[in-house]
Amino acid sequence: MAVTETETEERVIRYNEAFTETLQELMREDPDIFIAGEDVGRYGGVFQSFAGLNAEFGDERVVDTPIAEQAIIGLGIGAAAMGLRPIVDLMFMDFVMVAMDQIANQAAKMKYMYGGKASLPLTITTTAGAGLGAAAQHSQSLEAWLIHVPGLKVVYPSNAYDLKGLLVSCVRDDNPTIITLHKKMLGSKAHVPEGLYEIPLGVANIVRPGTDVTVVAIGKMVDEAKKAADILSEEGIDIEIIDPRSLLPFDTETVVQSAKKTNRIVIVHEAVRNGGIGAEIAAQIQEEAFDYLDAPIARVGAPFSPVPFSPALEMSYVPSAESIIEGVRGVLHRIA
Amino acid sequence: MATKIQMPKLGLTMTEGTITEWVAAPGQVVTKGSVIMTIETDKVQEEVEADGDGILFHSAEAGDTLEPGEIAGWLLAEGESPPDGGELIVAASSQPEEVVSLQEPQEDHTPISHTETEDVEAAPPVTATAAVGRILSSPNARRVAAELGTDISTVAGSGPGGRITSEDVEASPPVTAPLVPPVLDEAKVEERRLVPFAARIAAERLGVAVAEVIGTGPEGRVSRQDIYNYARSTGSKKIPASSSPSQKVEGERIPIKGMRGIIAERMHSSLQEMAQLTLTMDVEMDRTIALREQLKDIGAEELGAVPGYTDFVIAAVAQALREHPGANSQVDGNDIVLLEQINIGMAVAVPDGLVVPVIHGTDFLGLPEIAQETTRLATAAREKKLSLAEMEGGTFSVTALGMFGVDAFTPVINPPNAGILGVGRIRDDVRWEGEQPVRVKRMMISLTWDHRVLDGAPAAEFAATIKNLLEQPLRLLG
Repeated sequence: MAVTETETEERVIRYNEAFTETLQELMREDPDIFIAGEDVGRYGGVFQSFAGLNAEFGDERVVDTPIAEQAIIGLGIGAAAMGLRPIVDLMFMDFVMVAMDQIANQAAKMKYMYGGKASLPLTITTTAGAGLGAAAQHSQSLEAWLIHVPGLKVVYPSNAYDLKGLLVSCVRDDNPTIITLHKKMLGSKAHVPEGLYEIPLGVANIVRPGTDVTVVAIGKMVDEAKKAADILSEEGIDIEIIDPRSLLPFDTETVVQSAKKTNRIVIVHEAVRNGGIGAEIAAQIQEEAFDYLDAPIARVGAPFSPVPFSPALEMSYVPSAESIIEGVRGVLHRIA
Repeated sequence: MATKIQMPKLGLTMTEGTITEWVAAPGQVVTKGSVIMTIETDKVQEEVEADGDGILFHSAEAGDTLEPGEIAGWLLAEGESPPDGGELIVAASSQPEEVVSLQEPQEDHTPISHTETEDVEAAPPVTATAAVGRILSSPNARRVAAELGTDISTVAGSGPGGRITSEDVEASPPVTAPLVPPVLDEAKVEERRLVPFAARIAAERLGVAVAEVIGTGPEGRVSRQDIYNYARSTGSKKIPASSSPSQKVEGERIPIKGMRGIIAERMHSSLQEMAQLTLTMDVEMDRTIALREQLKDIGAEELGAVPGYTDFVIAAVAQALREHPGANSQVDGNDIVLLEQINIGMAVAVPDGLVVPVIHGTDFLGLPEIAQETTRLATAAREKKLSLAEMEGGTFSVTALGMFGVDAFTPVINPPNAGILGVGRIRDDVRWEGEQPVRVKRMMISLTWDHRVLDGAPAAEFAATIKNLLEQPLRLLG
């Protein structure tokens, strides 16, 4: 399933294109699927992630909505409860607060409240992350808020290949799912096969096997971790990179197995450290693998501050390969 | 398990009782039903019997008044300390009813336990395990140590603040056989079969699945023999033929190399090349103890360091060597060379062995200077920071095992020296002054010397000089 570089004549496309193509292929396959969101129709989405879909499937299946996030999610919940398979888009994850009641109180709990009789095959797509100079209200990473809600599934693909497989699984899942794209990764390229394939939710990917330190990296941080791995390998430090892919359900088993192997963990996410998903992962690891730890579990994340607008500050705000290297050295107790 | 001896409640109105007498002495072995103390209340006198068997420990003195239920003392098992503090000093002999004595608070003993006292601080510690408080170690380090059978207190930590990591444990040799079996896979755990560790280890070595072996022991217990029989029946080539004379010894293997290799080589050649023999002699330590108390009162600030007992011994040895140059010598070819310098080496136990740093020009140093030097060298030894110069040039050695409750032993000479002095613990003893027994503190010294250099009489005279110096320790201040 993992991308291998030895395949010949690989089709390499952008993260953003993989998203559009997957929606297109899914909609061709299943007439119950429709898309609703701000600017997703005629305009093709603020990042052109929905380009061409309105032209192919029409206004009925690719719906432009008013600027009303609560209504957009509510529309999706109602349609899903009535048997359709909606994909609703939150242009920026920062807008999730406006719709949080719909997500946490309605979508996540409907099946539970109706004794399992309501199924809710709803997919929410959104974009997160800093790096585009979009300032404090359009750059946040808020996945930790979502994983606190029982009844949701939350995924965060780190590359175009995973994006396609995870999006297919989300849309085909009969429960509410949220898939987060990273704005800064929209142009990143990877090999993506034509046709639909699934990556199961709740299964982590060992991106790079290693022996010295496990780096659990979320979303865009997987790329930074790979850069860190290359630099560290020159010093003889061999890190293992794990991309959880699904944040909820979380593949604790894979991470714990890795912790037992390397005995040292660094968790890296772009969100602020305080109350971040790193805290939850760290807690689970120490519950399962306390006796295998040689150092306190380290968390690398953004400082506890809004995302700065100044490009220079923003660059230093977002965790990078350098900050991951620092984290790895910290758990190894080694100074460069 | 320690059993409490409580002030009994004799009737509803009793609010307190006074211990009138301890019938049984502290350290005495008492049996259930024997009278251990008498008490009195405002109404009655009563004898209190032991609830069980054990070694008696007094928490309260005769004359103390206690409320019913308050603890007057303890019945302890051998080697046990009272749970509420205090320390039981047991002589090395295995006949507890004769040799058990009590340590009184604030009194200077060399404790047999590893508890660190200020004495140990001042004396050069011979072991790194005496540290008090929590040993910083990672959970994984503790797990690995348990699996390898390594005493984690002997491992030097390389992590932040000296935290011991699993790598540190792996780099440190195990001191005992594994305490726990290798981690078993879940399938094996699920079997819940009676398989002793030895059998499991044998099975692992031979590649035998324990589940397939039929146990012949009680309740189907699978013995090691069962594993061997099964392996033979299946034609395993790994099975050692029991008749083979070249059978490899079973057990964990620790290569003799590094520091262990050096110790092994030097000690073995020492015993092969020299004509070693050992004498022991008792030394009364009361005056040294008293002098040390005075030095303690003056304090480290003024003195530089308060000497420990081993420092007194080193100072005494240095002076005695001046009077007995034969003991400060070495054999070179066909000659005995009487050495000009007196450089006393002191044995310091370190996590993976033993080093003997040298106090150069010991006879020119005052007691506090010796104390400062021994403390510095012991610290450097444990931190592996000794320079080669600090390890070379020794002309005689001192080694102490008193803190382990040892009285006498046969130290092995550190070549090319001609002698080594062992220092025992300080213990309570009795001196008869006419018909009157007097309590004294004694310490045994164990002198090993090379008979090629020195005969018994001069060796005994040398030991007696050391004894006299320690019994009149003001001479050491000169």
